Amino acid sequence: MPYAIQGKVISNVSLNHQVYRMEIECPDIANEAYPGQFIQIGSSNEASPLLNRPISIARIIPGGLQIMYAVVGPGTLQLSRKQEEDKLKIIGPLGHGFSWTAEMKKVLLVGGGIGVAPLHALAEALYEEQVEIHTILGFNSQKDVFSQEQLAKWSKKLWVTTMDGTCGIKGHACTPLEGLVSISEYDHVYACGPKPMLKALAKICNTRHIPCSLSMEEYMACGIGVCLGCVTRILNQNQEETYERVCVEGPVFSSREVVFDD
Amino acid sequence: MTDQQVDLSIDLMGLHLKNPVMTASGTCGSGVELLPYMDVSSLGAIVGKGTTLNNKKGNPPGRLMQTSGGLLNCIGLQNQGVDYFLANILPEVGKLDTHFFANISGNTVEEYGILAEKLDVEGISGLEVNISCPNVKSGGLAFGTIPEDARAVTEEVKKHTSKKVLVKLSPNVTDITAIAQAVEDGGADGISLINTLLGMAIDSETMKASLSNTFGGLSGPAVKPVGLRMVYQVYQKVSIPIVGLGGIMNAKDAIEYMLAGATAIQLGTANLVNPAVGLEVIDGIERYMKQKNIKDIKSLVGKAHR
Repeated sequence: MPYAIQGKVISNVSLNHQVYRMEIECPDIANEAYPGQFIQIGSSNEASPLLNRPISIARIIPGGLQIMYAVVGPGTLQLSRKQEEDKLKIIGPLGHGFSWTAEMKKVLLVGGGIGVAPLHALAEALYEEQVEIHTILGFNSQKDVFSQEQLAKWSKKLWVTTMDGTCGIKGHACTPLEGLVSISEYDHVYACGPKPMLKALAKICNTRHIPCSLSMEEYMACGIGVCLGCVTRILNQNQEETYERVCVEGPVFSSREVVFDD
Repeated sequence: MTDQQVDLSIDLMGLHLKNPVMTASGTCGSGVELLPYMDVSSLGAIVGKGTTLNNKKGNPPGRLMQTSGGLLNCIGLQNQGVDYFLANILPEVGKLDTHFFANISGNTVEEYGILAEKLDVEGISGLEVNISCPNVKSGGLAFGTIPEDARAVTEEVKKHTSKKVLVKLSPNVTDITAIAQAVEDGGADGISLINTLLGMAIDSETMKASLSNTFGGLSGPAVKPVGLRMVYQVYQKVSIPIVGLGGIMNAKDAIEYMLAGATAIQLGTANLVNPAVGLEVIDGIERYMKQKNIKDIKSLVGKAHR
């Protein structure tokens, strides 16, 4: 069951020029949260920005949550200014996150940009299940890289890609799949990142019949399923295209059911 | 503050509401979705998500854009149709101890009649007739901008229902009082106003309209002065009750609408920001009444007309 509560900021630190990591005390939400879910954070009491910010759960920690967010607008800018002991309005845990089975032996995690954030909780959970984890992290440039060392702790292999080649492999997050990494060795692929990345990855996995879970992002208002604003295009069981809510039916969907724009 | 008892109950079109706080269509699902966050039965009434005769897919994403003090949407009435509503949603709604209004939207005058007849069932207190949705291509807003058409839809609905009928008006007109008088003449038991204001947003990076439907409906604090003005104007011209909405975010906003002439108010965009806002508004109204030594909320209605 989701809660609407006041959380307390434990810490809020900068990871690079744009990304922050915040830890929030919110035991009720933490007790029910699982990897891939998200929370809505009220960044202000003012009319602008009006809406809460949907932010993925990066890790579930004792008595609280860790989030990682990029400062991209006034809401996240206000969030970046929060200090220890500050109060935040939080609704969560929300949405359907990642799932896995006991049969999985080896998985690939692919994160792009701030989409790297929700992979932390997943990697931690799968590591505890003794699943072999390989990870690809894609960024635009070296200055954008974050969490490489933390994710490396849970990953047997980890590759970093940058579009400008200033760190790791030059190219996008799917570039290692063009020869360096064989997709067919994985039982499942999990990904979160920009739509072009998810689209390219879905095509690779669907063609090779590798199960793939994608965490989707859409502009969101309520986050609790009442406004129907955050829908994404989905192919249902009858092979009909419908609009499903990212906040309730998602954010994680199978790569086989997501319809990407042409 | 004194601890005297205050009476928040109202009579809306002959229905007894425990307080004047309702939820606006499209911002609370069927009400059941808000249960994790508050005792939904404490609300005066719930107005359900817009229902159409047949399943409606809605508009493609992007459907939302935040603006200064507001929210643009072009959901496009996504819903699974009236028969699905009757079979699957109404039984859940019936478990709530408050009034439920079904919000209906048709492509033709006849469709409104069919919807009214299908929804003339137990568990529904009244109908809210949407003649003002800016996000559908046929019907919708068209009925809400021409007085004769607004009257025709109202008459058709009244012919096919025994329920109380609220007609929800569009602010996207030159003279709101002409439309209000037309629906009153058509037999409406009450009027909801305002629906969203037609607007748009453009993304300077992509150089394209932000919403898939190009235009959308603007709601939130930014529209409150418009809604308040229209409630004030309409109150002077009609004798049926008005349900005021448009940018109400807190008890102060709600009270302003009542002073302008609203018998009840609806919370819309506020629900999307805070799903428990209904209870906070009820508490805030009660505090205000105690501070002002007002015993009966009905005495606030239209008090600004002096």
